Amino acid sequence: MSTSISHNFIRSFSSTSSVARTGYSTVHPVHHLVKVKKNALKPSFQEFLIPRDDIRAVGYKPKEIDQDRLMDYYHNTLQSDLMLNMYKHDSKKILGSKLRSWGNDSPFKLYRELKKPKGSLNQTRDINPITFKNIPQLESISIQIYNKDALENPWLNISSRLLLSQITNVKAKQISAKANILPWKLRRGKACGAKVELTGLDMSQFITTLVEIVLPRIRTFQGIRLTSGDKNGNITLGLDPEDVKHFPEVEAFQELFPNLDGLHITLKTNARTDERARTLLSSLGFPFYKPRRNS
Amino acid sequence: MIGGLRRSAIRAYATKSSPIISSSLLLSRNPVVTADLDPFQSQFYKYQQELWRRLMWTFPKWFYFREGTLAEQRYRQLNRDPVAYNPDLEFPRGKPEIRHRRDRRFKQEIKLPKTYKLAEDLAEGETLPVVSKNDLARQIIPNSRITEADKVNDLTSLERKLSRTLYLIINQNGKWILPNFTEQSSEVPTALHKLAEDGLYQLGGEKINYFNVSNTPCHLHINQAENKKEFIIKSHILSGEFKPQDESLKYLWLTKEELKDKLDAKYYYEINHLFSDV
Amino acid sequence: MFSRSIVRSTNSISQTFTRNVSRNVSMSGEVTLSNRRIMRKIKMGKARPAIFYQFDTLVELSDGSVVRRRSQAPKDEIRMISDQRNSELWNPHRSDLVSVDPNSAGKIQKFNERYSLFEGKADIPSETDESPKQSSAKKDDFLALLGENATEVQKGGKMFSKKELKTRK
Repeated sequence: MSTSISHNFIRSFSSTSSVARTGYSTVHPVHHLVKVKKNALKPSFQEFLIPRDDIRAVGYKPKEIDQDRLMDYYHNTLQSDLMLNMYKHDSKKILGSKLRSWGNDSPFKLYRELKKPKGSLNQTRDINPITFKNIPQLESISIQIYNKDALENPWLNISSRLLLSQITNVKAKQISAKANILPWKLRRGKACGAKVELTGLDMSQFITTLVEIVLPRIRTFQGIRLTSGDKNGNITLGLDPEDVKHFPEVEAFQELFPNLDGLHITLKTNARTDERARTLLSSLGFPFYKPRRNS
Repeated sequence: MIGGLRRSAIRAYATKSSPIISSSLLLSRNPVVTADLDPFQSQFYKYQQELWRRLMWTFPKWFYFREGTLAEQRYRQLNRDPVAYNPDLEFPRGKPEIRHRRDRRFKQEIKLPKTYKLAEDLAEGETLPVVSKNDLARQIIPNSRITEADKVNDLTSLERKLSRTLYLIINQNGKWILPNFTEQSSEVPTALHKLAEDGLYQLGGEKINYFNVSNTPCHLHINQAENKKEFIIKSHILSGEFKPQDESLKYLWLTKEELKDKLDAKYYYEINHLFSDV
Repeated sequence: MFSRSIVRSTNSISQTFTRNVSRNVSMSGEVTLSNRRIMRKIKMGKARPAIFYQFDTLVELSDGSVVRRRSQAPKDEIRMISDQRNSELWNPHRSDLVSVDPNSAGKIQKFNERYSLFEGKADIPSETDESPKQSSAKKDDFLALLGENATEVQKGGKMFSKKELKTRK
């Protein structure tokens, strides 16, 4: 076919490609319109196809193993109270700062990348008035240990992970350095701590332990700083290595934990503002205090 | 502002008097203990718990009980190692699979040494020693979920039905209602929540520690019979005791179901969404 | 939000000290991880969920209430002596809990008493001298949460006051 084209050449819109190629058909065979990952169909991968929350899956972990005291309290008592407490008459949606248009008086402006939001580099979220749909709720807790001693003694990573797993009952993950900072002996990829993400029952138990047992026994504890928070409703508090020993698991077996680490605890809520998140957390039993300026 | 409203109302409806603005108090005692589970729920949790126990990893005995310590000896006395498979013996429950001193076909159950004497450990003729209340090593026995007030069915006690939310109602002119307070002098209007607070102290004495959820009322009930607008203020009693200041005051602390029987049907139907099911 | 920040400067000082002290790692020379440990490889998708062995632990709090928690430590009963139920911070309306801060008469407190004027702390008394009635307008959500009749409890520590300063001079 192509040879015949080359012999009696007819000018058309796109003749060059067909002229340039020789010897094979330009029509691509269509086998699958939907892309199929064939290797996932391997018989040994069959177990992957079962979702994790299915009891037949190998990785199935029962979640609702017990009554959740904290969440019961939240749903039965707190939720309606929070809605009433945060209700503001005639409140309107507060718009966050968004990307702005450059104007539409020229095609260049129309298609130009949008202008940065006013006053900040990133876009901020809208703040909706509280209704029954968006009552602040605790979503998860992430706890992180940064252990700088582990840079010299790598076995300390094991003890950090062990400590975190002990106090949370969830297997901790290894974290590693993200950047090269030579004065701190940090090298990218070097293991230096542990992290864990808590949800569900583990989260509730961690909170009740923290509020009922651990924090009240820290002598210097005044509360969470009012300045803590990332402006999106996530509040962070820190515990010193000294404070961590008040956890019942650590306290009863202190000789097993010769090296304690401090914790960075981030309480993640779906409240859009820190103020709402603080209201939620203080109703769950966390006190707050206003730090003095020069201390 | 209220005064202004009232004046304009008078002007508009000269014949009908303007409604009296009053505040009702929805005073609740929150549950003290965890909620009661219905049979299905408790069975579900038991099933999940057993699954979970079955999937648990082996207890790291080597970590907590070092070889050769006294604690380890006591641990070994309580937890015997499972019998390994022997082809000469018969195993009616099947061939044991021992890994790390645990038969991995079953869930692991570990007994721990106690700080006190248990009834089953006693020898013949021995009795349990009397343990003083201040002994820190005594057994921890959770308190009863059923209190004295439950046994005698004392409806006026704050200590009844610990697992439920209780609400205060009072009897006024033979009718059970939420406590309702009207302003005495109409010269200076009082805030609704303040009105409710003062009323509560007059009703139950000053020794009440309570928490007012919000100054905003959570419901408006229009009382046609008495020409009243009743704004309901929600609050919780946290501690202290409710001591009626007036001897003749009839009051009850009731759960949602009990309120249904006591309150007027129409009144209950209107405000039942304010009561907690638990 | 809270008028809780009145005293307590001693604590924050001690906190900053402990945080900046370089830690010495115990057992630092004693641990060697053998690189000959051969872990049995778990095939992809064959890993069981990580569920640690957990005991049901009964925890008796100081007010006699008992809570159950799941814990890996082999201890099935814990009796707390101090916890949330008898902590001053959580129970500001209870007057029977006031305990004296052991640090209050210590060196830091003495230092603060002597040098507090330099830090502009002279404005503290104006806050503390207010009677609870006057400051009730300032009372915030948290105090309201504890009840209307709750008052601030002085938590150990000698409070700085202008009067005392005058008599000392």
